Amino acid sequence: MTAGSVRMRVDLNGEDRTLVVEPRATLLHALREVFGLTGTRAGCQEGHCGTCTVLVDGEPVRSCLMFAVQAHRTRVETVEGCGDTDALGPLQQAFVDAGALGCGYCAPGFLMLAKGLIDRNDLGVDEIVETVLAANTCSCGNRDALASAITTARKAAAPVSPP
Amino acid sequence: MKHVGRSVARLDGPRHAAGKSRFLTDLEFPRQLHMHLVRSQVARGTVRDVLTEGAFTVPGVVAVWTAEDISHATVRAPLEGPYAALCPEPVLAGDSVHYRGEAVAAVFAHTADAAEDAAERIILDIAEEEPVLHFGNAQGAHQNTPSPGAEPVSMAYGDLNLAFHNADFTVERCLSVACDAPMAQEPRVAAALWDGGSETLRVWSAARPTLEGRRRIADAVGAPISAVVWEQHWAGGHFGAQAELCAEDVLVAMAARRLGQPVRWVEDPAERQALGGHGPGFEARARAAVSASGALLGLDVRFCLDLGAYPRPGAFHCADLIVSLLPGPYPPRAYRVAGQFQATNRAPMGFRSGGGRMEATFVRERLLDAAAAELGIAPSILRARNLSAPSGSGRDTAQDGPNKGLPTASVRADGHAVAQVAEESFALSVLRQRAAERRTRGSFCGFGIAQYVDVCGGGPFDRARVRIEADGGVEVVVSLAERGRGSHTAVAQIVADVIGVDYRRVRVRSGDLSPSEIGVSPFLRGGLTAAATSALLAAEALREKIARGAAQVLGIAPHNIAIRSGRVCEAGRNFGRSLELGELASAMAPGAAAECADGHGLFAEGVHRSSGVSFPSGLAAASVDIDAKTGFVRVQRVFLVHDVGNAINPGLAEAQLTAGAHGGVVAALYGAADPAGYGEPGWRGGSSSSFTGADLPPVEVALVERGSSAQNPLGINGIGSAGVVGVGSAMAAAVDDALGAPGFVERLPIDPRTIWAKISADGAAQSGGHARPAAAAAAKIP
Amino acid sequence: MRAAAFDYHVPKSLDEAVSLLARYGPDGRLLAGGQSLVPAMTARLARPAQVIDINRIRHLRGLSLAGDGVSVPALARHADFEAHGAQNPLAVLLSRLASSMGPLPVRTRGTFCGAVANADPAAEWCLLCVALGATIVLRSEARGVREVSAANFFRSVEMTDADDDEMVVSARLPGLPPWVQWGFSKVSRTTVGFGEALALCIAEVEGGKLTSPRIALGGVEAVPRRLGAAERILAGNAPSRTVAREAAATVARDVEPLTGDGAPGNFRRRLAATAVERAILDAIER
Repeated sequence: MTAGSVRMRVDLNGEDRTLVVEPRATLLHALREVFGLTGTRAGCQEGHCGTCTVLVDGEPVRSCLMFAVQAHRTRVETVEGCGDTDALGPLQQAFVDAGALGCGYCAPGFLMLAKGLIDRNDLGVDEIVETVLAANTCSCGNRDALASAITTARKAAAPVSPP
Repeated sequence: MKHVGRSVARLDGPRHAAGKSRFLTDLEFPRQLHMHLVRSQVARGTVRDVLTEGAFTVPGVVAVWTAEDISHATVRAPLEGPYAALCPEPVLAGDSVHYRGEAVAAVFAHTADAAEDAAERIILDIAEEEPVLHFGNAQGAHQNTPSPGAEPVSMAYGDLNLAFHNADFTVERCLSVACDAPMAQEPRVAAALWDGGSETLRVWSAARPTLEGRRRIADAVGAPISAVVWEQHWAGGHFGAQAELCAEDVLVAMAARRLGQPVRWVEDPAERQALGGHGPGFEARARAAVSASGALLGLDVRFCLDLGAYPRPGAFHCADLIVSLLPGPYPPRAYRVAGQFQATNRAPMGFRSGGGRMEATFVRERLLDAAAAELGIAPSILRARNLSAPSGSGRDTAQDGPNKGLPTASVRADGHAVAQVAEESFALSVLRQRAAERRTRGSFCGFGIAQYVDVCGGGPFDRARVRIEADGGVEVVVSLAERGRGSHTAVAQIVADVIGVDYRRVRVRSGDLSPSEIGVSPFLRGGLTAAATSALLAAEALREKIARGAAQVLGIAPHNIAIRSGRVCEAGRNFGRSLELGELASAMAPGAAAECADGHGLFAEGVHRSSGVSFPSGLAAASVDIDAKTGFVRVQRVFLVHDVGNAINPGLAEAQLTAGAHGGVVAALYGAADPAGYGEPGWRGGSSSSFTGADLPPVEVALVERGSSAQNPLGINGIGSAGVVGVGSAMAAAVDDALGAPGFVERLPIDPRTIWAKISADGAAQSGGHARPAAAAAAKIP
Repeated sequence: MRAAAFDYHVPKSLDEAVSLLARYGPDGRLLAGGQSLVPAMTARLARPAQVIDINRIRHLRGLSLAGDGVSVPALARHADFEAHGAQNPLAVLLSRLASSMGPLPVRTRGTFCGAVANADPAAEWCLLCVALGATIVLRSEARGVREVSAANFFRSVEMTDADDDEMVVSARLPGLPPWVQWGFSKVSRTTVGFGEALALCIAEVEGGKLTSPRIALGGVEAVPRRLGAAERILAGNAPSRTVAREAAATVARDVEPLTGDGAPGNFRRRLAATAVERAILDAIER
């Protein structure tokens, strides 16, 4: 801990956690290096690729474009909160079933983005797919499989609420 | 249940979906040091001084190195033969820097923050000189440029003069492919750990464990080559971009040994383009001699490759592939090619996905399109007339030179089968027709195809180990790391079928299996072909052992043994005595009742000796739409046909080809690492960096299993990055088609400026204004 | 990829924020959405010693699109403009621009006023402010509240009229009459990339003629600006494809594109003309 470090609290995947970080640590760095949650991955680190996408208070954000201290008293959700290898959540299972996983590097970012949009429950299937594909990049050629995984998961979730 | 040939789900799927897969960037070591590099901000200059004092004011800094501290070590040994004059790439630049982003000093600190803070306090005093950034127009201006006139790669057969003399017409084009930057999702990582107890060095690197690489690392730490353990690891979306050994790999090894602590370096995204390994810039002057019936009589090509600041094997390999694969599936009667290299003050070039093959395909297919236009026949018809027969028509292999042993054209590539499947699956002629109809209504849309021959496999050796565990599970160790293609799943399918278990009981992992004195080939590594074949051989040997052991335990003749779902029993009997594989493994363990004479228990190794490479044939087609007011190209659909020989897992094969096709689209539309030619390592904010899935076309894939490779018992041709190879050429043809201008596209990536200029000029001509010629790239090859 | 060390401040009120800015001057930077500042800091292209995070100042939130004209508070995010209930023309226009701005996770954080303060020449909100004749409201401890018209606010690439101690506290956008017609065009090689040229056209039609047309262009020159010559061509003419083409033709002559980003001047001029022509057509056909 250095003199400039800050103590903060965060609801991380449903658990109340306290941590001490330097203000310059991004949320991405804190998740990976302080909490050891390496499912959130570093990609371009300038906000373009989306591999580091997590949910903060339910909203998808780039964790590389936010300092960890800014997440003080927020609810942060990462891929680790969605399910584990032997007990996958429904969206994760849809990714497996649709073959939407290539090298696996970008998968958590896609998962969290899709989860955020599905949980919001105000967008239709096509809008969600379009938004997700225009937000994150995958270099394994899984565009169509990702679209089908998200479609399956959205349809299985609650119907769109009337406006 | 058989697994091979079925699109079973990937074994690593749940791990990936849970975020539990571990990548190189996830590596952490107790007491690790972090390395950060200080890089030159100028593309060319003389280093007057490196002031490192400031770095030590940062708490946590352990060491700062410059070239002197590492005795001016180089990443590779000096080259031999025609390249002996080229100076090898230094680990840290000494007296001079040759590209912007070249590392000059290294900082080692307890935290990544401290290393970066300290690196900022190091002052480089460099006298800037005028850099050579554009290759082709400044011969000899760089110390690493071979003397003019030297053409170190060449090949020829047949009587070229006669071919051109007999030709009814010739087509000639100047064609080029811009330097391109690799796009990896995961930053590059290098880490090393010196274990003083066992005196071994463990290395984690994206680079492939070549013999040369092992030797350099071993020399760097003063240890024998057998003391270097090369850890294979999952990597995030690299696909060949990071195959070569880099200065950072050597540095972390040296530091781990000398500083006595694990050392880790993670590429900063801002460093990505500085690291080099880009696809080299390529320029060619090519001509073809053609008969009135459309027969390709002669092919004559001279080309030049941009090496960047220092020679890396990838660039030479790229040249070798160009030489070998230029004729593709249509071997001409006479062929001559000569290539040369030029150095520039840009990051060292290397090997991109589809490297060499993409350039060769572009040159050849552009010439064929030009010839088809000259004859007024459909491009597919001209191709059909020139495709080689399915076997035996390949020309001789090169007898000497760097391409020794590489055939000049496909030996078994079946171009006819590929073209036929393409037409049957996708009705390409209808698509071409539709594009033509839409053009009559004023749209700028077009359709194009390209056929290609890829090269896969190689070796020379690969090995695999298979073991039955006491719980009945099967453990497989292969040297191939899982790099996102699902290769471990394909290996599991093969082993499962041989042993007789469900593939989900097979656990595949990668290990450092290649004997240190052999290493792997850096480029035409065996890939899945070698890993799958080794695993097949190991599994077959193990199956024999199971039969012998079970015969002893169960009292049945070995040839009467059957294994169903992991249960060993007598063939043809549904009841009677049987054994779980795990029970058998325990019974055959060393010291147990039915122990194996070799002392290994239920374990076997398979060694695959590759006798050569395979030449899968393929076809790419694309339909494009052009925005007439901007010249921007949008790819509507891509079609791919690839002869895989034997599809172990068709779903995975299709995904791999689709990924390649997407890479090809990106390279042909948004490529060019440095479009403005400033020698800038990074190009922020350009649209090249902002494409997403929303910009990529749907890709339809048809697999052909016709020209099975004779090089391996599974008949796998390999896929590699085949998806990339033909897509850019097909897009170029489609743009020509859209513009009604055969031969218009002469450069990849396709430049919207030239398209817009062409459309404006045509518009002006139609409306009675002055017709301007389309902007064409000036010939730069002498 | 790690920012240089800084001190972190979390003011709870606007007064406190402005006072911190006054204290630190050029060493201090306000952090709102952070979608430009954070990557600039982690790449060490920006290295403020003092970061003043205004995200906890409650009353800088709360965007209302219902009235005639909008006062955009400092913490209104891009995404806040997307899901609007209001159906007035300004709200619809804001929604259209917001949804074209980068990937969704960036839109959920990035702020309108932050984009204005950053003055990226290709930013949609800067273009909008210039086209609408918005008023940028600044506040500092020394000078209190100061209002600057958008036309005078943007000085050059990422340079504005705001001093180091001044904060953009809001932007006042005038309302649009219900009968207004507007059109927007962004010329980009990718779906979510920055525009190589973007244009906004706002006009009314009276008696079959275009009146009080406003055309603004962004992403081409150092700052977004109104295009007088093109506007004059529209004014008083009947809306048609011909008039759109004629107006666009003036653009290629009028603009002086920034160079050095890969697209040479002539081509960029052409893209600018295309963006303007399409924005006009979009307005006419709306």
